[in-house]
Amino acid sequence: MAGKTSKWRYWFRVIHRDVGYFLFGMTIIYSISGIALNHIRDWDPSYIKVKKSISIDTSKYNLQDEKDIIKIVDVLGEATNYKKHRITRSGEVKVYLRKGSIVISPEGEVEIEKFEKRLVLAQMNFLHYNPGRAWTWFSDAFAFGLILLGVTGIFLVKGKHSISKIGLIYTLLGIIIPLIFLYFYVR
Amino acid sequence: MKNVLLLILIGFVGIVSAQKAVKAPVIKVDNFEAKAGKYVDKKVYLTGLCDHVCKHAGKKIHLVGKNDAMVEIMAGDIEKFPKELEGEDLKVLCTVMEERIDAKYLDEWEKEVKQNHGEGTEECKNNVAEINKYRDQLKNSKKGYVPSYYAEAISYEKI
Repeated sequence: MAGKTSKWRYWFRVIHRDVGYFLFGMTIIYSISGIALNHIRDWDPSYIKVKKSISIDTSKYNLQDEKDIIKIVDVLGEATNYKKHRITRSGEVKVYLRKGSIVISPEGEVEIEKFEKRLVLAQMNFLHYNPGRAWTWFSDAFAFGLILLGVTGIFLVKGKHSISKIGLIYTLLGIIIPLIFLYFYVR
Repeated sequence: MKNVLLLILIGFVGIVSAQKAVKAPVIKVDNFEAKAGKYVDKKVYLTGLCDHVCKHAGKKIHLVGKNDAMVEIMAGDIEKFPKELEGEDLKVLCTVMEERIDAKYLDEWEKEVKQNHGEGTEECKNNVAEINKYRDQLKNSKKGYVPSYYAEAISYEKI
């Protein structure tokens, strides 16, 4: 009986150790991007955006003329980034740049917005958002691996801190807290 | 023998390519509102300029036409739209969807807007103004709802 328990705990330790090593990278990717995406209301987690507002004298230009629009874009230093522009019904000119946009009001108020991908974080977020079918399978395997880590983890330790003693309190707390949130959000 | 195999290969590639091309009407964004009712739950190609890619994971784009008409296209089968699509002319294969906006929908929308944006903010005021426009349309609607059309993307290409 004692031999059987030892063998069983041995294999749980092996699984927990080796699966833990294997999933280290994925855990970091999903945790960091998870925190970033959790606060998506407060910031853009994948792009750094820089906004600038300036005024120009539009009386020198015809905002209906493409050549004049491109002249303005050149004055703003963005000629090489120009893609296209359109004129809205309200007379505003929206210029699309390679990594940004410019909005020019008829009164000469100009808003320039440029964006750059956040190094590393943008790529982590891209993976977190499931870029394709193959990744879906791999991330399902990751989720299954986390379940394995959880199940093997609660049986790793013997004695005072085991799942039958102090460990049970922490485990139950980890279940009860999300249930409390659920109760308050759903009611 | 080699020529026969080559012909079979060409034929196979042709059949596969033909199967991939979907037959669907092409609609410009400017005409979408007028024609959408006929194509609910059906596939169409929508063409227009990509004005905006939603910052929330690129799950939505705004396609605009020449007269400021705008159609909201949800990512659907596409995992996400890259931000670099802003300013590109697109041809999007999509399914036309209809949202039936009734009084209950508008009340819930207003509640959500006030919760998410906070009462008194600029964004809240703009959203509430749009909600009130729908309420005015609802008063004149014989169906008891106002149809609002959008699309769910299947694939897209730059044109």
